[in-house]
Amino acid sequence: MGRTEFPTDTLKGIHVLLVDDDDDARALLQTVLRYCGALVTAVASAPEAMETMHRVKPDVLLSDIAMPQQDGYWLIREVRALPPERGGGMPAIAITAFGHPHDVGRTLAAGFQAHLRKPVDPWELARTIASLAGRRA
Amino acid sequence: MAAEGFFSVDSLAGVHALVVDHDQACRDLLSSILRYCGALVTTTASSKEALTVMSIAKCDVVVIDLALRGENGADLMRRIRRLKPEQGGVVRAIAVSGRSQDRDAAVGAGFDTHLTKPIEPWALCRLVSTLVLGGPSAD
Repeated sequence: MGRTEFPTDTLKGIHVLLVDDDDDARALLQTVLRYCGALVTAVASAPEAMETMHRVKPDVLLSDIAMPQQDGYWLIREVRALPPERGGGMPAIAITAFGHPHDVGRTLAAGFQAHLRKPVDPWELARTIASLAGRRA
Repeated sequence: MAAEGFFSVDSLAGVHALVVDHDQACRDLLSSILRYCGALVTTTASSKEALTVMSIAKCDVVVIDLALRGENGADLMRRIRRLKPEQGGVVRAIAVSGRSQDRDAAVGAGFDTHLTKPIEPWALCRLVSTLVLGGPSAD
C-alpha cells in the first residue's frame, strides 16, 4: 500500500485539467497531483473547463461526474466534439463519489478512458494519469 | 541530534499522511516534519474535516492529536475504524498527546500506537515508515 517508485516524478511534465465543483475535493486532488509533479489547472465547473481548453491544452482531463447544471457527461461530450488539434482526443478520467450509482460502463461509453471512485487512492490516480499520458507509471 | 539519528529525506515518498490537530502551530510542525521526509501531507483542524478528506482521497496514515476540540481524537479514531476498508477504515493511525499515560486508551480506541510530545521528528518518520512501508522497527 502507498509507495510507488519515485512518485514525485510520476507526473512531471504532464498538464492535468482538474474539474470538480467541490472546493475540498478540488484542493485535495490538486495537492496530490502537484506532489506527483503535474502542472495542474483546476476549475469548478464543466463550462469553465471548456473555456480553459480554448486557452491552453491539457494532456489529461480529470473530471468529477456529479456537478450541478453541466455534469461530467456534458463535459466529455463537448470535449469529444472538438477536433483532435484542439484536444478532442485527450485522455479523460472520470471520478465519482463513494456509493453513487454512476457505473463504469456508462462513463467509459461516454468517452472517458478510466473511472475512479472516491476516496481516490492518490498513487492509483497518479499511475492512471501517467499511463494515459503515455508515461511509464 | 536525535539518539537514533537522522531519517533520510524522501524516505516517506509515496506516503499520504493526514495530520489532524486543532492547534495550528502543532499541525504545521508535524506536517513540516513529514513533508521534509518526502510524504504527501494533508492537514485538518477537526474531526469533520478529517472525515471529509478521507472521503475524497485515501490516506496511508493518520496522525491525530488526542486533544481535538469538540469530538476528541479517540472519538475520531473510533469513527474511522467503523468505516469500510475501502473508505479508509483500516488506515494506520498514530495518536499524539502530551501524556505518556494516554497510550493504552489510544490503542483501545483503535490507534496503532501513541507518541508523547515533544515529538522527536525522526522517531515520527521512522514510525510512519514502519507502519506504512513495513520498514525497520521504530523501537
